[in-house]
Amino acid sequence: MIYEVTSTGSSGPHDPEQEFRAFVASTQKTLLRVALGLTLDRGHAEDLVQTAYLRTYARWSKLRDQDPAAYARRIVVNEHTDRWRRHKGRESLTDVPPEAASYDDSSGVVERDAVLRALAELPERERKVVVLRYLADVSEADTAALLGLPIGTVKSVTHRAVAKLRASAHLQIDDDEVTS
Amino acid sequence: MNDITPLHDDGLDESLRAALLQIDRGPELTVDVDEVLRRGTRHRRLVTLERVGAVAAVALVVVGIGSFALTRTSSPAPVAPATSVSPSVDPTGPAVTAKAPSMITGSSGIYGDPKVRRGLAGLEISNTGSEATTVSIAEVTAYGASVKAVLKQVPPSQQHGLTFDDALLTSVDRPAPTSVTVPAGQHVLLVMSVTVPSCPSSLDGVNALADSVSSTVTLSLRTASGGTGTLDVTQADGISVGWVHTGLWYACGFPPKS
Repeated sequence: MIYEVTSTGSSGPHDPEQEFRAFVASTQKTLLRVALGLTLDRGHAEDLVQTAYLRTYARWSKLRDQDPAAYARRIVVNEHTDRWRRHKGRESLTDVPPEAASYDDSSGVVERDAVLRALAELPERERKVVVLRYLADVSEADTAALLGLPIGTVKSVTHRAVAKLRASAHLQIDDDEVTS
Repeated sequence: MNDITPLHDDGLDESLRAALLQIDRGPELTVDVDEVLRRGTRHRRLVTLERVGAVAAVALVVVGIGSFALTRTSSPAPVAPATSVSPSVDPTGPAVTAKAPSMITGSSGIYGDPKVRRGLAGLEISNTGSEATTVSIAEVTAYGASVKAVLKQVPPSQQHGLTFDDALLTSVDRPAPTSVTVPAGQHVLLVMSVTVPSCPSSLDGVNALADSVSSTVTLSLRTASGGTGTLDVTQADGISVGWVHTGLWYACGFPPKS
């Protein structure tokens, strides 16, 4: 089998590049949020999302009429799982600072770090479920399919994780004022 | 092109959700879309090439050629330059006479069996140096599926043809030497197999599966005189990128129609 590099044209009746840019603009906030929740690290999160968009763009002609956001999300989760497996035991993939007292409260970094610390206390599977359910609004069924778990397991894992997060010293949960 | 459809199907704890959404606070994270577009275009080209390669392989079968030719003289086209060999001299060996290994990647073949959901790729590694070189598998990394890599000595009688079939697929599970010494001018076959736990029902699904599967193999080389080097097969000719897709197609029973 011969692998030979040839060039391919990219023009067409639609403008896939513009479509893709619009897709990125409409999905990147959620995707970055998911990636950050999974990796707990800004650099890794950005890298993960970049990879997901890269793979999505590589199959854009097929995905554009389907659900590219779900595809990109799946790549983020799978890539994170792969990296986590590869680095498990070797290094801790987090840049959550040990203390946040030096941050300026007005920047929002304190709040973000508090969430990251709370998520970091969860086991990997619980964190994945919480991130997908709470930060990406993925349904239980889709979460189960994405993680290869039965729906019942997703429910029980979510229940456990929520209890832990509610008990976390890092999170400030206001049960009276709910913002969406 | 919707983002994510909210489905609060089991009563999300909204106050907890509000607290978790504080993760959006602070400096915004960013994505370099221009870089994605640049690299994405390159990636798409690679995928196209993989498919062209797969179709070419099927075409060979259709015309009745049941084996891939692994010859020293007649298959120069797929040979990649040995740029990934990192020559160095073993300090414990005779420094004056040690010669760096010279190995290049050559013909490759892909096969699969949907009955056992396994794909197979073989890659010929040729010793173009002037002395015997011992090849061993230094590192195999794989994720997304189970991947095995073994070295198969290619006997002189089979230097001109080796069949990619069930027998070769099965042979991956048999005990294999951890290293093979390849005489000058001869070849060794690196055989990789991937087993997928389950196959999607469509080619699109298989492609998506392949997107989440990857593998790399690094070979360690040592010449008779003590020269050492490594050969990163992934970098050598792209087979590790290509075979995952085409191997999984075959493994899941989706060989492309020619």
